Amino acid sequence: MEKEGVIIFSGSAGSIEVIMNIFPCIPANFPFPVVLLLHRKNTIEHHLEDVLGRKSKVPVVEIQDKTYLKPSHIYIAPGDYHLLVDKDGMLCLDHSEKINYSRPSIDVTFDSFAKVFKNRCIGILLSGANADGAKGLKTIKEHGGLSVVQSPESASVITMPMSAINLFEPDLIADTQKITEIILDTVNYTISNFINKIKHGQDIKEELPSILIVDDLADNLFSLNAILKSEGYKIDKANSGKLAIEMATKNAYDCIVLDVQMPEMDGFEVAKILGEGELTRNIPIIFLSALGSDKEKVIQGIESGAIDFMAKPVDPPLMKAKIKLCLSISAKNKARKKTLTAIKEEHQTLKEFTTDVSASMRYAQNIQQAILPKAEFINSLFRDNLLIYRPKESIGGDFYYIKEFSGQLIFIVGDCTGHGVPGAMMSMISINIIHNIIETKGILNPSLILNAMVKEFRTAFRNDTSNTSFQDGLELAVCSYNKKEKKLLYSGAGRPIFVSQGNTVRKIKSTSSGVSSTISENFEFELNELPISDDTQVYLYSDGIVDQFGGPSNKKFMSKRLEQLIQSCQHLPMNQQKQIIDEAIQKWKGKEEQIDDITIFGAKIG
Amino acid sequence: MTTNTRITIGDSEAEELIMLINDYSGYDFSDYSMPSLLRRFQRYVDMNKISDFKQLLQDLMNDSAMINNLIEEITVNVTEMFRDPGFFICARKELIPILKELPLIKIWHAGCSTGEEVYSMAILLKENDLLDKSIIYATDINQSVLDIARSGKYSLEALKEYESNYWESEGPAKLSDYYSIVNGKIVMNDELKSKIIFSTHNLVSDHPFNQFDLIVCRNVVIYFNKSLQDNVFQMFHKSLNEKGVLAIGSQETIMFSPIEHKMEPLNTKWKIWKKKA
Repeated sequence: MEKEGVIIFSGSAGSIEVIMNIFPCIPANFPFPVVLLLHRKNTIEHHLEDVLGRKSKVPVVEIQDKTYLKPSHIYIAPGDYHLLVDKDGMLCLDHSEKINYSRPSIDVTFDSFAKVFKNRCIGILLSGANADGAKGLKTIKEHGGLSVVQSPESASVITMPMSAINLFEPDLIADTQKITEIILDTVNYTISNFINKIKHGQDIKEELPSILIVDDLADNLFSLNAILKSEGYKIDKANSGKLAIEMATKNAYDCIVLDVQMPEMDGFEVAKILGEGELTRNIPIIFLSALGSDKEKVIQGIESGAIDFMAKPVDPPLMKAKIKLCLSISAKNKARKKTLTAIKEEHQTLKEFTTDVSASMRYAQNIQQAILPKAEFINSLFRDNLLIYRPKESIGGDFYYIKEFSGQLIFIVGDCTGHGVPGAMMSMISINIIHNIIETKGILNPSLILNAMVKEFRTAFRNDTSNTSFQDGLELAVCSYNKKEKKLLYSGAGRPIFVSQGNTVRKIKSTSSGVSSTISENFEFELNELPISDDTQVYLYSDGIVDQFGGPSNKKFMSKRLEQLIQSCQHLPMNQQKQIIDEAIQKWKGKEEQIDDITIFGAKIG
Repeated sequence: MTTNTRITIGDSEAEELIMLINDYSGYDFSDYSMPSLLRRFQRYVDMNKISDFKQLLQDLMNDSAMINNLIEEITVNVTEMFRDPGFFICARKELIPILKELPLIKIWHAGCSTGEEVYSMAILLKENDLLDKSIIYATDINQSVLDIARSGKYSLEALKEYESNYWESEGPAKLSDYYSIVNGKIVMNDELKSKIIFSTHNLVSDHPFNQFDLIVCRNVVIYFNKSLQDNVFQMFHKSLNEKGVLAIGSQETIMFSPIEHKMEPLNTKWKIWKKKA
């Protein structure tokens, strides 16, 4: 099974003379199969095979059904059959209807080969008197292959080339001479690389390894060059240490062969200087010396940066082997350097990205904080209060809302699903909705506030027609305090509160359901009216603190522990309570990660 | 928006169609040569302006007439009279002398399509006074092409080409000696028709049905894959009398098939083999 690549020449009237010019130039070891497809009848005599066969250096054969293409062969498509190829590269003949009055039809063959050989297919359309081939050649191009059209100026019948040129933009339009050059140039590449090169103007031919040979004696340079040239290396010569350093700094050599005994600057010194240069440090060096047998010199050489040492006169096979070793080291160095550069670039991109993200996060943090009430404002409403607001990230899904409206103090702590950016977006929406309910609609009853929120959420998120309805929402504790009537009302959606009075701390339970678009509009949030005394303190909190892992056996903090904590410090002024609670949280958390946003708001009322 | 969205038949679509045809009709195209089959299917969807492949499968499943039509569409092969004049020159020079020796000549045209080549062979026999002692079995998988073959009526369109083929094949008379033109159609002479038996036969699934002195099967096995070609060649070998002759298409070969060593070449250019004794 041969499927490496294929070159297809095709044409009709006027193309035989082109073929006769090009085909004899194809060398005997040409690495690809060449297919020739001409509009012609299956005549009794096969002049074309005979004539081409006599002129060509590669065997010329007529295509038989169910055979494979082989490199270094010219295949002639038989007259009166369409030529197709199956996905494994097997040639198949077909005797169905003529296409474009032709059998073989160039369109049919190009179309079939384009799909199988893709970017390993070169299609060449020559002189001819009908439009066959244009569509097929376009298909070759569309599948990544190379489309070549004989230039109309050079074609004896221009219909065929012109049809292609009018239909699409071929990769190349070339005369006979140029087509020959292209075909001969393919031998230096794999076919896909060659096509790539022509299409993108990129020469992706592997660079030859480059070697610098350094010796003060011209004879030695000559013989070294002679030994190494045959290996296909690119060889530069330097006749002094000074020149060698200069050249090595400019060119990235893969290996340097360095004579030790040179006037002015000897090999050891050269190696030492190269060892200090950023660009030359990693170039493998082989020392050449008549003193090769002198052990001390060998050690000195290795210390000064050589990786190998060879005695003169040079033994060619040994020299070649050592050079090969050096080149493999150099290749590894280069690959490592490439990887390193790539990593550095990636690191830089990541850094820039992180900087970008941090900057926008900082900005978002400012926005969020601008929306939350300021400490002075809170202090003006509550003489004695505590606020701990610690998002897991710079922005979060927790929020607090504090407002005086119509002689009533409304204070709310909310905890939206999630944290970070999504949490923050939810919190912004929630604050907006709350603001609307209280300040625009004038609803001040905590239970009714929650109901109104449900309604808003349902309208905000229910018109989402996607089949997964938006289930996220928030939990919140809503309190209102009527200063005149000394009446404290509380309603909770998934968030209980603590109330401290005298020496006791009570947990006021909340309705278990939070606010979201999925709960019923008529859902009732229980309203609690709480008795007030002079020392009543209220604590609203998000679940960030009670869910925090830590402590001696890495457990959750739990609300029981919070309750005890409050109990232990309830008699103290709020700012001291804050300190104690804060410390307790920090201590509990220890080295554990903060798992969620933490918010506690406490206030003395009455 | 294009109103005429074309669908492209690739390997997977072709395989679905092959399975469907097999399930609903019993005809097995899985060993047909894929590149030709792809073109056949493509031609079918293009000609019928089919733009929805799933719908096509649905329709085929619900309509056996449609399946039959599809099968006929993909099995119809183009043929002509005295196609490859060189082959007929060779037949005059090398086959006729062999057939002359026989007391009774049995010939099988396998995959005869619309029958033009069968009539060409009959003309060759007639011109050598062999028609009377000959019986030609002409078979094809496709019933509707056989109906045309049996009628012996052809369009006038290709007549010019047939005439020139006949002339090139070194025919000693005029082609018009063997047909008449009725209602704008060529009608082959009854004498030729009387010696031909047309019948359906599926090279994929059917067995050998007789012994023959000559089997002609030109440009049929190109539509099969290698393994099916091998099977068909073995069936041909079984169906040949001792020293029987097999003629296949000029670009086809029995080389590398199981019968390669059981046959000896008579003419390598026109791919004619003789069964070894």
